[in-house]
Amino acid sequence: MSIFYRIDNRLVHGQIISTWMPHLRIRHFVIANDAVPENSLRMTMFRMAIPTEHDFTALSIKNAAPFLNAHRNSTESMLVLLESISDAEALFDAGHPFPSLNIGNIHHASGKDQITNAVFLNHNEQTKLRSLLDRGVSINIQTLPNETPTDLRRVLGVQ
Amino acid sequence: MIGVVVCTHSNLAPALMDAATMILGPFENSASVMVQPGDSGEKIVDDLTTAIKSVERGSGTIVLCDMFGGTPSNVSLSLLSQDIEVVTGVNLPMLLKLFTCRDKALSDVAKLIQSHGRDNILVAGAMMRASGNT
Repeated sequence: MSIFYRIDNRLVHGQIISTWMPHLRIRHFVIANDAVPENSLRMTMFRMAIPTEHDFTALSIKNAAPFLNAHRNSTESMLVLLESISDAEALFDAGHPFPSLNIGNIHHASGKDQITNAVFLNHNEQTKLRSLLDRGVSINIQTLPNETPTDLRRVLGVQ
Repeated sequence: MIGVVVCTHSNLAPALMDAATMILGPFENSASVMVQPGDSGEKIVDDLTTAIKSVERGSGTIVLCDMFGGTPSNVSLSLLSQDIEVVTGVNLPMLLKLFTCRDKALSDVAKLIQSHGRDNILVAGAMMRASGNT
């Protein structure tokens, strides 16, 4: 498989460039989010953070689905960054049913359960994730490549 | 006097501040912000905004971050303005330089500490050997 899907509130940041990029030999970074393509400051920042020889594409969720469908059989490794569980669900529902999903960073807020030191989930998010699991998506929690991935089914007590 | 905020992953920011204090003594109008796993973007913006307000004395503030493309720098850049400059790749020589030239114009100081921080990264052993010292 050459497309990796990750939920990370911080999108492109230190962990992505310093660890995941070499670990997965990522050539192309894709952000699927409705706000980022409209925000020129964030676009410039992400483009500058990603080494110039790597590709970077940011698309709205609606445009990301057909774009990613067209790249399904691409041989270059691609990392799709999603800011939230809602964005992941929206991408799936927009016609790009990805087979697997990594959860990297979902920040703390009041009323959230702490799952790991970098992942906090509220009830609504847990419901959305259960729904993705029911639809056959394999989901793990792993913030850094050298950590052992945690199967989300075990965390949520899903058989 | 230019305000100084150091914003980094984990506790590098207060540790750098401690190291600078060990060399130059205590500083006015300076603050550090730590970004921890699990911190939301909103929390980091709030911490940074509070820190900047606490050090700003009308001459602008320089936010020093550890790494371009990291979260501390990504969030700091969202606060850029006429009065706020962001410099990345902070190291101790850069921080010490900044603490000794805070009465110049903001943009001049930013350029000065950029070159000072960069110029003080040396392959020191090779330099010593080249001067015939070993």
